Amino acid sequence: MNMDQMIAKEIKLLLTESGLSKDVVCIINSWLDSNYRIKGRYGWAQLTLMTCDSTGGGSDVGLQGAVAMELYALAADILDDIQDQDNNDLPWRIVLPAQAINLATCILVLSYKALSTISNRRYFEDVSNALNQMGLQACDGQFQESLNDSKDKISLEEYFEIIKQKSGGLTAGACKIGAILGGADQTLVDQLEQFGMSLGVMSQIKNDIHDFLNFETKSDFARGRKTLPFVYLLNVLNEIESEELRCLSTLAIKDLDEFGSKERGRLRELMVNEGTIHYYSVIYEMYKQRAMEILEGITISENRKEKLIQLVG
Amino acid sequence: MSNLAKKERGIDMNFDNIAKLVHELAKSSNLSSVKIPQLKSIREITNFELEAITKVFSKEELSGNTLEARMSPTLYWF
Repeated sequence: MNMDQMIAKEIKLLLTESGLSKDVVCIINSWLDSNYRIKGRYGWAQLTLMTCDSTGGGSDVGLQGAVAMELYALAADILDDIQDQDNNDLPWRIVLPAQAINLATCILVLSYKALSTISNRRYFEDVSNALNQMGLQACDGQFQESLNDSKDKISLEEYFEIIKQKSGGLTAGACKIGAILGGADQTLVDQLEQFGMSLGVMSQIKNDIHDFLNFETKSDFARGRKTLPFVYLLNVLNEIESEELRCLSTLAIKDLDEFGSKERGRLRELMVNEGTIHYYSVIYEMYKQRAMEILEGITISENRKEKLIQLVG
Repeated sequence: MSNLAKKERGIDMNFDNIAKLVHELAKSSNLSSVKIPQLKSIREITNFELEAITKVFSKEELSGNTLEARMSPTLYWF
């Protein structure tokens, strides 16, 4: 049985024993399947299990934490999509928002329920605290991000503070939970948490760059979202160019159909010519370097370390 | 640990200063390695940050056709 099959089996067991009605279990299962098809893997659970394995824990001891992470991340995705009015073709966006919120809450509770079978009480308490802290940080980051939508400009410091909370916090949480369940000492737990933070920031800025000009399925720019390219450009362009960028943003938000090839071309030009990709690459390189330095400093076997190095790319 | 030490170790980063420096370099027609340390002297940039900037600008110049060039974490979550 491979890692994803083990995770799927554990989730199925959790749902079967949850006492939820058949139709609710059926919908949650279909949403999990849909999420799996899109992502191609149980990425959150895998990250948790990989970290657990790197600290010497087997899949059996990490599985509850891995399932909790996977379910937590799905619930967060659903709530984000409802808040952002995003990903309209996903199953939780097709049902009524009230139903989606209800089921997201259900999945969130299941995430905590998954932890209840951890037999070691100290691990249970530490993992629960990690999950709570991660959740609070992510909610805070999401709220700050929504406040920023209406601002003309934010600094890059503010942008990174939010993604460290919202995105870095989740990957850091997954690594922390895996490390706790693997029996790591506090120093190693902290190091792997920081490693996870770097992974999350790298992954989020990559996503920001990728989505900025993606007008076909989703565009952060068309929602006025202060993602990395937009924030960078607002901070480096001169007054005239900044105003032009804001006009483009207003036009895209107002009616994407009116945002034609000329406007899209100009936006792409600004993104490429003003060093946006260079900036992304520099920040990406710094977080990569930081992640590698953390791994160099931790005391785990080279074989296990190599698996974590592969995550950094 | 002091703020300066955190920055030198890459724990905190000068995101806004790096942006200004990167922008100047991207707009410059002469991306010589000599220019980067010169620009560093007028901005608050750590050696850790300077290394990353130098590494990126020492590689082949990025263009619109290489948007995907540096997007390669093996796994991603967002």
